[in-house]
Amino acid sequence: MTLSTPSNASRPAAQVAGRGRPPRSAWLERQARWVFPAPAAITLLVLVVFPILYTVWMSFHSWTGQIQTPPQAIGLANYTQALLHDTRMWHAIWRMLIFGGLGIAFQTILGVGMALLFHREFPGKSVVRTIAILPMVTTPVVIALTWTLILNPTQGAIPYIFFKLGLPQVLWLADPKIVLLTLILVDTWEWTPLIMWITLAGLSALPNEPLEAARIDGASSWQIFWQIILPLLRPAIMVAVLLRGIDAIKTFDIIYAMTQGGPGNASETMNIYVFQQAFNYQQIGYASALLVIFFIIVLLLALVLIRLRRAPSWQP
Amino acid sequence: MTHRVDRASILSNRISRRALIRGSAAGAALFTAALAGTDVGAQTPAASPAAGNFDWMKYKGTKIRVMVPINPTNDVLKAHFDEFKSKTGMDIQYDELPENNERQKLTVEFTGGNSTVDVFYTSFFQEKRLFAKNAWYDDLTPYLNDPSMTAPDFAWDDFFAGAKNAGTVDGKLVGVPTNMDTNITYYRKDLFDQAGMKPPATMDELEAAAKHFHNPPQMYGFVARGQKNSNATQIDPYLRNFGGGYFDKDGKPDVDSAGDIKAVEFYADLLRKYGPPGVTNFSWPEASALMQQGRVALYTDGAGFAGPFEDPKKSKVVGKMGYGIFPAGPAGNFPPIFANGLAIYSQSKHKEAAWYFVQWATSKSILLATLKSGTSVGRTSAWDTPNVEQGSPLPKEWFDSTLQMLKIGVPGLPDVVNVAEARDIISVGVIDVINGQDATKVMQGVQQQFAALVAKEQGS
Repeated sequence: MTLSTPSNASRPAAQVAGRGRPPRSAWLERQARWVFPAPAAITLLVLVVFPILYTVWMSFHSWTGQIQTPPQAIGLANYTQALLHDTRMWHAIWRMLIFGGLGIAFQTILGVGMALLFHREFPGKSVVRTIAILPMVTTPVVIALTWTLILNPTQGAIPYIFFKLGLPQVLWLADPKIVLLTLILVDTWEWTPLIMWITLAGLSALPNEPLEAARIDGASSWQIFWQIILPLLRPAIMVAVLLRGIDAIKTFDIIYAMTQGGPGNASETMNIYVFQQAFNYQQIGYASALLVIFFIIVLLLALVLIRLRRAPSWQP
Repeated sequence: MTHRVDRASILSNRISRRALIRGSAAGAALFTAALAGTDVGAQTPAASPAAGNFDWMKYKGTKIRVMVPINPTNDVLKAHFDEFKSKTGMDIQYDELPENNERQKLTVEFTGGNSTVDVFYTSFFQEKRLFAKNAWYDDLTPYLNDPSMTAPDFAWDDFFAGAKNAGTVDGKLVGVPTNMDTNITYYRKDLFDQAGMKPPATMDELEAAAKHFHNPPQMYGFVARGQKNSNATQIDPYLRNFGGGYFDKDGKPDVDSAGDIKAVEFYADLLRKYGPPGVTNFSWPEASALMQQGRVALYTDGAGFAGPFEDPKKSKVVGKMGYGIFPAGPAGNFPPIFANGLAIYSQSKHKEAAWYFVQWATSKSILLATLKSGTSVGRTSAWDTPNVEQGSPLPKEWFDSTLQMLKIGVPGLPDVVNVAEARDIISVGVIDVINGQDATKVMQGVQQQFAALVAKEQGS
């Protein structure tokens, strides 16, 4: 529908122009800068801008989904409740930052390491490299349910191995102190390949001259890595971190499928909490306010990361 | 038309049953009185056989959309669909999903306001007030009172008073009860017999038995739900049996009374000392699975989860199970009643046809079949059927214990609009205590949040 709108609109305009009008292609030619972006712009407007504005509007209202009563305007009440009284929200934000921060740290270290490994030549490289990206292309819910089984305290493989090795019992998903870390590890298992892939692309695009120059100057491989490769790779790594970071703090699928935020609220991140408010408690207005707060946090983090990326990296 | 229902029904001794259902009216009245509570349901003229021109074929050709969670009750219903189709000439679009997903899909569709759902399964104890507030339920009272719309043998008065109450909000009937669950104690009869022990009738006996059989990791003494939200329905009877509850005598929120604290401590202690590891992630599927694998001796949960234990395809404990009453506490025995039912969406375009489905799905023969399959129902005639356990996978003990609990049961969970949030608040408290925090402190925190929730609802 969005695709047909601009061409429909163009037809009457073209006809009005009369018999001596220039061919339609000329009209298109002149209007091209409007016509070609129009489908994308309309799609964006309908699917992105409108929902965001509607969410902001809803965040100043109280509504549980009533058919007969429209949402009631309550001013800033949702925001004062959330920011001043809702400790559960602050805990959820904190967990979200931990999940995103630790996750990104693990994934970047491992991902860059894997990229450096796969940048070398060794037999069977392409096979191993393909296997390495499998976690990323697997459906998250499948990953979550499989890990839930693997970690199941009475039937799972990992607790069994721990038991056989005489290690103490770890309740991976039931211990409130450990559950978030477990989820971060699963997230790391799933998403490290993404960082690897982007870094690998960056590695293959590296200029050879600085490396050769360094070798001629007698730099050790340690020095070459820290002082030449890493700074040169920085833009690529920062792109990976930016993409993955935003994705990580809004992770929903594996957390919901593995713990639903539990046990208790021990792994409830902001996204899970918003979902509970909206679809379990039916507090649509309040959930909208939480989403706006969430949106602002994500925006701020993205700005910080973008700024970091722009910082100068390597002067030739 | 009763003839057709009976023929397709799963029962073998249909003649005696039909005769008995007719003859049980007097017994039914007595029994209904025994179940207490005021009778809020309309005295329906439809219930009298004199009623006129009711025709099952009236909405022939209509297709209705039915949305339900997957559970034993709805499995029985699904097995009888062909009967409904040939009886009414209607067609059914049947959407069944796992419980949590179904509830969310339903609320998302209803909130969006353009749902094509006609009939849906609803948990009165969970969402009745919220759905009524949102005007999602159609008022069923007019259909019930219209003899041309309700089959003469539907017999609304056959339902327990408690069941009728459960389906009613502010004097309007919003749903017809299907299954009414209550709590019982599942125990390993073979092990108890070997040890010369009787099933626990009190909390002290429950603890002693759990301790006796606890031999991890082969055998755990006790299991019950620990998971967030889910455990709230299970701590419910413990709270009352220890003298606690959700509100004090003046109706003020009170979940940190001495009884409440003692109850949560007891429940958490049992699970910590005699339960399986990771129990805070256990809802009924996990707990039931442990029982089916023969790795736990005692389990308190809804009576409606019994069926799978006697299914040789799923269970290693077929024939070894015992079904006892829920244990009494120091304050007495107040098992919960959790009523569910079928409702019609207020924006449905096939409301009348939907009502035909609802009354068929809650008819005497369907609910009798439901009871026989091992799911407790709210129809007197079903329970009054002599030898009701015949043809059922469950033993007489299950029917006796469940009925005994239904008779003394009280509505479970607090009567608030946002039951989901109340459940989360309480259940997180239970988890904190299972994880070793001090019960008094935890329940004081729970009380604060619960009181705030109630205050918010009363303010708006």
